[in-house]
Amino acid sequence: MVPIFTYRDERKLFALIATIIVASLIALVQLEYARDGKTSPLSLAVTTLSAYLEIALSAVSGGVQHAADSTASVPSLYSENQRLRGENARLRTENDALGEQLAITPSEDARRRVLERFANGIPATVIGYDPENVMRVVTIDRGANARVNRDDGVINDDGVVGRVVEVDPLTSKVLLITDVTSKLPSVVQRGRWWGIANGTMTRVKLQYVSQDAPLKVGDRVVTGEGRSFHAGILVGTISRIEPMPAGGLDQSAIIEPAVSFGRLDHVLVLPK
Amino acid sequence: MAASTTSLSFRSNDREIAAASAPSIALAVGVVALAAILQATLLHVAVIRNATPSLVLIVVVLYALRVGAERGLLIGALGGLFEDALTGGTGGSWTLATAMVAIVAGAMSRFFFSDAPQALIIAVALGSLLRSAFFWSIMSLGGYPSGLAATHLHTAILQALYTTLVAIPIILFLARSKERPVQRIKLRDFRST
Repeated sequence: MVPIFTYRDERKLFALIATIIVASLIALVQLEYARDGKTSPLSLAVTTLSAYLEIALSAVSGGVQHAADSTASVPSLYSENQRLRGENARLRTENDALGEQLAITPSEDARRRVLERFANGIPATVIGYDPENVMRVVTIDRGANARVNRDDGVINDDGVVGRVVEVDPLTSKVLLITDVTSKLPSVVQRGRWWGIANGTMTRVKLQYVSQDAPLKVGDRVVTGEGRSFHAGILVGTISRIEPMPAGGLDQSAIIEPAVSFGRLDHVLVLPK
Repeated sequence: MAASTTSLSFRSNDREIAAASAPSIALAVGVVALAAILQATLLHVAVIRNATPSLVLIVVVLYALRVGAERGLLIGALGGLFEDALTGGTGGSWTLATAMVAIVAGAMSRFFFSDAPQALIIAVALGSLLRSAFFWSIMSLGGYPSGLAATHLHTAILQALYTTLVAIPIILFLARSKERPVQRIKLRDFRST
């Protein structure tokens, strides 16, 4: 049988090459926008569309979870637990504030600024996580429409969560302090020793602390005055002090974050 | 069993039939978008030692193996784009990595077509590893800190295993649902008669 001559394979080849070129162009545009720290129009369109789906799914899963919790708990114990948790959170916040006040004796003006900032906080709910879990990034349901800005700090009842790295109209991306690209100026509260808190994927590592600082396990680490946070918000407690290398000029310690990142739900964005 | 398509084959007829009976591109786009959103909203509770199963990869590899590089690339690039948009901070790395895996899977189907479950399972495992390698290479070129390479390698291996485990029931379900009388008919059966 004589084979029939056809251009089918050539057409397929051209289609493949054209698709590769278009995909590469899209990827390059994405990379260019990412490098400039902006959101590309393509990402913007996708995130806006997906935001509605994420919000809907989050609401459904949240509702189911809440219903299951309510069914499992005896109503009186549940309300008692809620009351005690609220009181505990209040006392912890008060304790943090008093500890910080005792340590640095802030001016009345600085204290008022912090209080004002917290009063203006934008409550938000976590609605999405990194699909592949390679970046420590979460999506919250407040964006530019709610006046969230890039580099705004994000906290919850326990302490520092992270900072806003991308703002879309309806949602924002928050880089958690455990991400390896996160760097946060921090202070060991007991002695006012400064360092940089870097993420290690699961925990946080306090680096570049003066070699003279007598760090101890259990020392509380709080934010220093910086771009995203005012001073005094709890980052975590030191769980391990790394041995100083010979000739080293600084020391490092592992911080156990105050926030449980596996159970993030409600957070507060601190606008600048 | 003579009419089954579940045997390894180098014949292009199998591939043509599979491609012709594959789901439409619109449906594949919808499935891959749904997979990305499920991963972003629900699958974070299933994280084991920093690894999470990748539904997007499963969809892309299975689709590309069935329809070839051209259509597979489109779905791969879109799946990666969804993940980039939902992650933030990765630029177009997932888009490129997933598109490249789709090309490889689609090209492999041209030379070595098979819809045997074992072959598909192996393809998903290798695809997951390959995509992680592409992704971290692109991220590294973009200036991402490379100090945690060993951690990323361990996570990539664990993710490949995890993704494969999730893919097994999906592949078996698809293989079972595909075994309909009409789809068992193959060109070689006509030739033999």
